[in-house]
Amino acid sequence: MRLLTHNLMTCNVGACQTAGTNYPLRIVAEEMQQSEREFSPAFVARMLARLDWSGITAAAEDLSFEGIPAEMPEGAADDDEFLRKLHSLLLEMEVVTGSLVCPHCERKYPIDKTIVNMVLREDEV
Amino acid sequence: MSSRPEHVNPPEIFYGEDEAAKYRKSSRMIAVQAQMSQRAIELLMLPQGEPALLLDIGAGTGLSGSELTEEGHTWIGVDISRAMLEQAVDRGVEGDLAEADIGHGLFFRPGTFDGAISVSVLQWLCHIYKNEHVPKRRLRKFFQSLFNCLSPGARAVFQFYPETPAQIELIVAAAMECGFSGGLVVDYPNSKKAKKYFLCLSAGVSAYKPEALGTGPRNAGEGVKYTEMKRREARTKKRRGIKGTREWIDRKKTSQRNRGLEVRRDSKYTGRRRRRAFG
Ligand SMILES: C[S@@+](CC[C@H](N)C(=O)[O-])C[C@H]1O[C@@H](n2cnc3c(N)ncnc32)[C@H](O)[C@@H]1O
Repeated sequence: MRLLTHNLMTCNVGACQTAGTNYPLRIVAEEMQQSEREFSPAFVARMLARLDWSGITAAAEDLSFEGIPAEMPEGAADDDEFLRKLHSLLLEMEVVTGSLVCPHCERKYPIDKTIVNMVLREDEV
Repeated sequence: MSSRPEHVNPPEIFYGEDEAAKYRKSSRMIAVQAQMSQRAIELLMLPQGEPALLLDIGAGTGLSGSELTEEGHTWIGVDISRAMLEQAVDRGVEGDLAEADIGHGLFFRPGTFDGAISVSVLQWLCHIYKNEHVPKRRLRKFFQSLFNCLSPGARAVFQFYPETPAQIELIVAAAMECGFSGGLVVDYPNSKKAKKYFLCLSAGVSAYKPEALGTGPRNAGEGVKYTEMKRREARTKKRRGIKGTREWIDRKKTSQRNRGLEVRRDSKYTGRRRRRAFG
């Protein structure tokens, strides 16, 4: 699971969806990997409007990454160097093993082989 | 034995290691998936040259996703089969993958995706694999969550294998109820082998009229090109009636049709005791 995906997802337990307190999911990482990926400034710039910056800072804290600004910098879309760093953070860093945990209901979603398991029990829907 | 895998096992069982291996080894299956995915992407009609974030629903082994990568897009895939997804990881696909039952609803924030594709998946939602499964409800849950996580006006294209006209009706009605507009594209409607169904949806009221292939004069006839979805009249809640009455039968049949089952047509004889033919 990459951090772009993490930034876009919520806890899917019915009660949490209704309460709207299902974001951001906490990251517990046991194993991470970094793999190089083609950088598209246009794509990362396009994602800026969609990102929730509080989700990024929360993820950075969970993973003890440093140097992430507390807020999205002004003019980020035109700052190639910033976009490249963001690209690396969002698309090149990957949780291989670990879990995501809902901040509200504490539901754990295991990650194994980079695949996050979001399957609910029927009584959680 | 039924020729439809949906009848035999739930998807997480049917798409086990053996089936997943076919997606690795069978060049025919790979080619078919790739071709249908390319067509689905074409029907999405995304703006040229803009790298988009797309969702692959029932991403499986990532063959469909690879076509998205090929087009320069970034994608996230969801699928209920662990075996299929692991196959995708082993192939080293570019997309990010989540194991999930789409009948439970998707779990992404509003406005996340620029579009979605789905190849050979939707028919799986029309069946009951657990006591809790109500196909109509699962379809609705799915379409509602999809509508929410698409950016306004974004489109979703589903290649699927409907079993009956009632199943198409069930699926289309659920999509409509969740606010989608769009319709059904049938490519090569007169060819038994090449005929393909694509449900093309738009999360908004944009003019979206993709065109079917192979409906030219030589293929004319039943040539359903593009059927716009009709708004269905809101149905009022009904009480259960006395078993065996015409009313009761009608309601029961409606409910069965709603679940996509084949039901006897209504006639003036419905619910009437039939006279014995020979004394
Ligand atoms: C024909 S395969 C699609 C293959 C895929 N497009 C690929 O490139 O490999 C259908 C997929 O739909 C998935 N599926 C069926 N029902 C599902 C559900 N309720 N939720 C999520 N995925 C489902 C199956 O697990 C299977 O991988």
